[in-house]
Amino acid sequence: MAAPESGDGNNGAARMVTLISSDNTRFEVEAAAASLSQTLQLTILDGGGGGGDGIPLPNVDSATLSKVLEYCIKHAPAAANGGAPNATAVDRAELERFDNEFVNIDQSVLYSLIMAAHNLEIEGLQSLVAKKVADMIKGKSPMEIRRTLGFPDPTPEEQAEMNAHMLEYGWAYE
Amino acid sequence: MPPEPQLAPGDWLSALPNGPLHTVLSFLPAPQAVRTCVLSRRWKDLWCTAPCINIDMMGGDFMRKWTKFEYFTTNLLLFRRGTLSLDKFRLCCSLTSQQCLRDVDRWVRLGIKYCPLVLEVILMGRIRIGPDSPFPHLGESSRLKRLHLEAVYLDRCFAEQIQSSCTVLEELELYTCVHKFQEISSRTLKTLIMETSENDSGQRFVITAPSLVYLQISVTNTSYSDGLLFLTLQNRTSPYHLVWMPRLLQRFHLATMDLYGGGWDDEVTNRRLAAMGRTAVVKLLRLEVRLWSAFVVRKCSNGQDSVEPPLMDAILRAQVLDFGCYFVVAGGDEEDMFDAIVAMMTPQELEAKKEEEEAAMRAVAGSQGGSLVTK
Repeated sequence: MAAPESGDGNNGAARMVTLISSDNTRFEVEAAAASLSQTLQLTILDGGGGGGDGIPLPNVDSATLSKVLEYCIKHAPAAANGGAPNATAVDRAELERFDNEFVNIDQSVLYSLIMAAHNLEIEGLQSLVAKKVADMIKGKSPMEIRRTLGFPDPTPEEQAEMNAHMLEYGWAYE
Repeated sequence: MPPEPQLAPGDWLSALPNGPLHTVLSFLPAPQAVRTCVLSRRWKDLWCTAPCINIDMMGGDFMRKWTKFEYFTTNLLLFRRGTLSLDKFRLCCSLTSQQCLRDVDRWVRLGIKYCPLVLEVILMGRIRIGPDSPFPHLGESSRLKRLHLEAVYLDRCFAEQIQSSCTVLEELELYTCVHKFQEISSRTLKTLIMETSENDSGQRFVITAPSLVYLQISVTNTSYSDGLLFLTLQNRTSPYHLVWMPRLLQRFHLATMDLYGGGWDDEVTNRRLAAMGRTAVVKLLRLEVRLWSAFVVRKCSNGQDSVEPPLMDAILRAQVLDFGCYFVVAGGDEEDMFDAIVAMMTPQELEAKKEEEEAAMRAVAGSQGGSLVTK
């Protein structure tokens, strides 16, 4: 069945844009997917990123960018729907499954993703990665958190400072 | 497989800017978010400048003990620094005595002072909240975009504030609330959810929301016996109203959908509609079969509850009006409950849906023995 997709005023095929990572790799994606980034959205609305020129992203390397775009492509259709009212339970479950899988990654990748999501202002991704970090922290004592995330051991002065601090915040330890 | 973290051991997390770290904190239970202040110097002041306050009694920390919860919450709000406005203020607690209401009132007032974009207050427990402890005044909530309330009492002033003070409010979600007001009116509201609400005003309830795109209402038949009125004034010159009244009839639910146009009779209404070149777009969708016979359309221009055509007729009549919306009526269980969702669609989307739903309806009617759709 040829369901005529009314592509929001676009005629014919979906518009593509090109993004260029810090190491000069070019990525061609649908404008709708790239527009999940608040930072890119305006440029794209202004007609940027099409044709020969791409949008340079000096802060994002190719490995990270490809991961980010994987997220955007998956989430673009739901975002276009305006979210909740029309989404079916199946669609939502599938996105959730994807998200869980997506953040099952190494800490260094997680760091790059957080930075990229922050710089590109991709709201859903920002929450997703932050939630992942929160889950790593949740229920752990400060000591365990330091260990899990590889914080350096505090210097004696710092430790003293922290102890004093802890007294002040006794109410959070009741 | 990428090697172990390339960053200096540790502190890749602390190396992040405040923004992402604040987002991380927003996903932690409040007590733990506060406790991150002892992680390192970097973390010392992070929690108290975070733009999100989420205080939830249901976490393990409080064991549902009010004294513990009160002590923590009062301190948290005291130690939080600065008068920076918040992105979100969320309070979720289970009331154990009437005394708790005083604390909640105090905290919510503080929360409102932070001018949050999102305000959520969720109350639980067996304490019945009545007119003597209404939800605090929202003040000049000119930033409030989303308001989510559960089990609070909303007095008459609340509706006035929604209309005049909440100038950018887009989402209003009321769950198991009791309300004294009889009207919700907002130019900016896009989503309105009223689940299991109780109408304490004893009057017909009126919703006027020209920007509304999503409406979800689930009401008890007893508390809205005088009906619900939903006004979609898409352009201000359009005086067409949709009145919708759920009532209980025998064991089934009687819902009356009235179409009326400010005191005109049907013919005049139709002429006016035709003059405006409106197209048929109101659509009833996915009806519980046993609700069919209970649906009645009437024309209330002359104040009579006279005409009671069967449902299919109702759909045809409804299509005369152009509200740019269609109805999804779902639910209708035995528990005196009637659920409905109204979503607005573009005419093109509707056309596509229409065919699909009509086929589905015919199929349902066929499989149920057809007797329900006969005159």
